[in-house]
Amino acid sequence: MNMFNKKDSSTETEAPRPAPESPARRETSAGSRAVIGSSIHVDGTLRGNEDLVIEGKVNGTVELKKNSVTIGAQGEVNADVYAHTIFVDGTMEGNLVAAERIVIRKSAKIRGSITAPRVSLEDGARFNGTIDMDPESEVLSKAFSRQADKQRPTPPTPTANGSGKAETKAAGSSAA
Amino acid sequence: MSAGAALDQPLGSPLCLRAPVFADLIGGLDEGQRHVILDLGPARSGLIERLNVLRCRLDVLDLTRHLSHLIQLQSDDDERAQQAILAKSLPSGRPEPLQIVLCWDLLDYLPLAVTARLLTLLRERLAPAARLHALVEYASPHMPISPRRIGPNLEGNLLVEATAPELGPAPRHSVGTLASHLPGFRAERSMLLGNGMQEYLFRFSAANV
Repeated sequence: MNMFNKKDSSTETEAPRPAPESPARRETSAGSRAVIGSSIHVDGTLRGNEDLVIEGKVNGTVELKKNSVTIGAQGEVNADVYAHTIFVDGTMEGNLVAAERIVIRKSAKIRGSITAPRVSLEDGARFNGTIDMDPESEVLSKAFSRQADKQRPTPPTPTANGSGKAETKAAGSSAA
Repeated sequence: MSAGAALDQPLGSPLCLRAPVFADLIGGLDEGQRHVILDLGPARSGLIERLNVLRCRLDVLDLTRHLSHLIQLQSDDDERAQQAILAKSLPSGRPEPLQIVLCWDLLDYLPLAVTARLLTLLRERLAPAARLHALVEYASPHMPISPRRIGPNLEGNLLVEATAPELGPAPRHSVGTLASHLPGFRAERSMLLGNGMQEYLFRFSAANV
């Protein structure tokens, strides 16, 4: 059976609301989300197991394959983003890959590729690139196959705040 | 509905138009097969919703944003500039042959020489028997001065909305005129729509080049 079945995925996913401007913070309760605030600039790889809202600048790779990633209206992302669900309000250049769904809002400006079994785009959004809605696409299979995850090295223990939930590997963070 | 009725539509009030050629083109796509479509206009919600039920890759190359620049590029010397626009705008990554090219009303706004050049540049990306769909203002000598916002709804009809109140002259291309400026394409179907626009479908064959 296809793991990215469009017909089984009719439930709407509620987008997490972007947080008010704040520095990066992390909530530790179940179902929490991390926020990269508008003054934060991250270069590197972000991995973890909680939802993420990006209002700052991120360059590199974002891998939250079981969670949602929201690029807020102030967010500027130049990265490849892998997540369960992705919402875009801000500016994005790179590849967006979601196991479930990608939602592009009208304020979004995107250049790159979008890969997800379900994609929605509000009129007014600026997009140039490729939208791959094929649930059997190679990109989806590679990104979310269990085999691929097994081959990936285990991420080191988180050190940022001791929550034990998410890892942030920033190869040089600076305030924007 | 009278010819050119769409021209009387107030801004922000889309006209719902039955477009049988477009409906057949998209409706005829096999749900089990992968399809690759190139959209030469801005990304639009209705098209993406319509294609979401298919195994589909949609490449969006919004040439309407480059329109004023493209119009100036008519001489042979401008070929490199056109190539640069395409190279910059065409989706990167693994190339897959394009099966459908959607022009909407873009060809009404491009000089024929520019259209010919662009299609020549796209030719190597086309699948055998690729289709090109276009809408042209036909019944009225006037059309909005900038491309309309056109996209399908889930019923397969087209929603047509003017983006500017001002009108300019319409080139009123015949199917033959357009075919002669689309290298490798032959006219396959045409249909006069309820608002006076013509819907054209062309089919590509490398043997026609």
